[in-house]
Amino acid sequence: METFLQQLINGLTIGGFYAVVALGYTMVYGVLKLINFAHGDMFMWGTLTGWALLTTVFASFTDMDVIAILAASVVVLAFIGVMGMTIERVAYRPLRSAGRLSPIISALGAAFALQAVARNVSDARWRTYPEGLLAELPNVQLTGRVSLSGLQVLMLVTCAAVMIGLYLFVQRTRVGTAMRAVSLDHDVSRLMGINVNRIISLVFFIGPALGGLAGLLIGIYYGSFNFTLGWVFGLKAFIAAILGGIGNIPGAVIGGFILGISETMVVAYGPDIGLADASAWKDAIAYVLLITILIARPTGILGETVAEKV
Amino acid sequence: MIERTVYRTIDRIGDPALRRAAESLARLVLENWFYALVVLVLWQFPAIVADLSGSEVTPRRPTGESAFWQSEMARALVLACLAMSYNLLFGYNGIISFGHALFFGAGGYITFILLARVDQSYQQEALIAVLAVVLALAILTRITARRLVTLALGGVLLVLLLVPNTPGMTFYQAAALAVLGSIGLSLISGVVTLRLRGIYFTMFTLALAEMFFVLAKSGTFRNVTGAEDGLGFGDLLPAALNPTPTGDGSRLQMYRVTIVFFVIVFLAIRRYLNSPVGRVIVAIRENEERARTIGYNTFFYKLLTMIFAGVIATLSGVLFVIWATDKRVHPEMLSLKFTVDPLLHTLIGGVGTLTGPVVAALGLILGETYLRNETFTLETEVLGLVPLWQFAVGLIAALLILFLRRTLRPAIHRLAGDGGRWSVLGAYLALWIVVSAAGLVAGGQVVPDLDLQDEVFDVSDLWDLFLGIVFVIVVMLLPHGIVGTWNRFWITRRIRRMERALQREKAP
Repeated sequence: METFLQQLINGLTIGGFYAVVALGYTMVYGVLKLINFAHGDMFMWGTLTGWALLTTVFASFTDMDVIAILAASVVVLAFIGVMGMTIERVAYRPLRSAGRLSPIISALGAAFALQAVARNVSDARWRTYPEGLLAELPNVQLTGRVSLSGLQVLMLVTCAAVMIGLYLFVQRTRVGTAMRAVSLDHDVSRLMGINVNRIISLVFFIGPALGGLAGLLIGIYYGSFNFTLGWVFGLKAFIAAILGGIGNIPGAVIGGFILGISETMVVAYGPDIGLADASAWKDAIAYVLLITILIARPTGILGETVAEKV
Repeated sequence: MIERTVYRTIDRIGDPALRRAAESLARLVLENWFYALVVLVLWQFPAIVADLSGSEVTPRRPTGESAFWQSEMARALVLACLAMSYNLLFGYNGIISFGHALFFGAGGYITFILLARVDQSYQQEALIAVLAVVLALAILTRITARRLVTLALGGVLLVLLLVPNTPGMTFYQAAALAVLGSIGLSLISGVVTLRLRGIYFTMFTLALAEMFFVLAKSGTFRNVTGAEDGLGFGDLLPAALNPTPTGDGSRLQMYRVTIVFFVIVFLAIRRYLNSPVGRVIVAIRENEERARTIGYNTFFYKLLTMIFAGVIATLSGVLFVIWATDKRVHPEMLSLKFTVDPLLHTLIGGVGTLTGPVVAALGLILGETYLRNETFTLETEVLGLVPLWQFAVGLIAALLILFLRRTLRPAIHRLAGDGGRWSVLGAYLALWIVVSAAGLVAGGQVVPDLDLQDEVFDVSDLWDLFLGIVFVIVVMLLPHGIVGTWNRFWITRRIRRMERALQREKAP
């Protein structure tokens, strides 16, 4: 039971990351009906930028790692957000009226380009974050052997804050209302006086910026990364978004947590039920989940509308 | 021009039977001469390469110096077949599957797993698999009992014919079973997935393929798939299909077998598309609701196309493995790469054009191989004419003008006056020359100072970046792909000419 609880907590942490990255996919899909393949790579660029900042510019802040990380987060948020807006402007906006598949290919091209640049920047090696970041955060002891490390608490709190904040932003503010309107119908929104292009730019700022922040956090959590991180993690986060029903913010969150928890459970209990190579099954479980859920509910857990475009 | 003369001559033939024969012959030649020419060039490709590299193709050295390029060309042709099968799904039937690699990899894996286990007979397992497919169809679909029984009996009969009761099987039996397995896979995945819509369908196919990719890589099935090292098959290939460059000519023979396969696939896809079924699948692409309303069982036609494309992909997979230099089936065959590559070949070549995927696949694959073997410095000359950096300056100037053409339009039109299309083009050209010249002068100031002269650019590092930019540019500038744009150009020209002819008739 105690191992189970411990694994549940680990799963929640990973699930939080999936959920935050999935939010970026689901928001873009909501307004543009586009699979933004570059999103995973922008997430990886968050990790890369964070690593570059923490090992060079903020490397001297070793005593005050909280301040260094806060400063790095701000820079990452701004940089990746602007990167997302630029990609939208260059690679997606000119194709807005062109067919249903052209933007997807453009997105794939953007993903390839981002990945190739990252590979050259990082010399295609595994890069490690400075050691001992946030090591002095206190552990939280729940019961006997179940504990949350300080890092996990921080991650969970950040992810929760991001998700709740985004939900409130989309549901309660004027801009959020405009966003929901745009995701329903571009033309009618324009008739109602909404600047559709600006809303889409905003979505492409918020989604990647949050993804980049998640990238920075995951860099700190895992300690090392390489340039292929974005593709694998991004694909799984996208699966999380589909699981919950794409275009749906609570759905993305639910999907992310389901995925994170099932992954840790497979790693923890897989060997007991005969899945010898647990790390491979950890990757496979995402796909197995997607297949079973789509057979049972063809539009995801919370999805209602049937998507028209691909 | 030629066509008109030929058909006019044929029209003058008096005897109707003779005229009809001549006409069909003329049509056959006029429509296919270009393809025949291409096949001839491909057939002679080893000799041409040997000629270019200065070595001879003699009966004693049938491959000359062309062994490397033979395998590259064969690989490119196999991937072109894969791209054509993907185009059949995506370009002609509008099915956007991200799991095409599953069929490609299934070809390699099923064939060589069966071949590698020589000590066992698979008859029982194969029968069970057939019955499992039938059972799954019975549960998941509302298929009629008669069809179900036909399917079951046909499958059992095929298995009894193909799978020997004694241990070990030949390569051809294994390949035939791979095709059978691919059909079963199409049936199951098609029945489940074709009911999903849009993005959910795409993601479902992706998940299915990725799941098999992960499992093929995993250590759980190491004794079957060889995990990440891949499944080695060494000397299990029959001698006739072994492309190892031994000097006995079997590589050249395998190269020619590959060409024959390529031609057959091309003709089969063309025949499929020109048949009534082909018309229906294009109708489904255009508007599935309408096709269903007319009374076509769209689900059946989509499934049929999936099976057809899957079988082609499976056979391509088998050939791809045969050409693998290290004689191993790698799990990468199931990875997303072999879905994305054909997708990109289709898009760059032209969605829904017969030759587009082939053009793009051959161009990109052979181009990549060629460039990877070259090194570039700033001094390198492009096409032996312009130094690399000057070429880059000109290219950047052209792209700049292209991207700013909206902003530049008023200025350009003022510059061109009202002299029509050609003077506008001239104005753009003049602008390009001015901008490039400015860039060259500025660059000339900088380049000698930069210590980049001897910097070597390694293409293998930059290829993905280059590819990524090519995709973005191609979808922006040539939304119909290379061949698609080319076709459109000629068609619009023809229409314009007809319109002008009509006006001339009306005028007097």
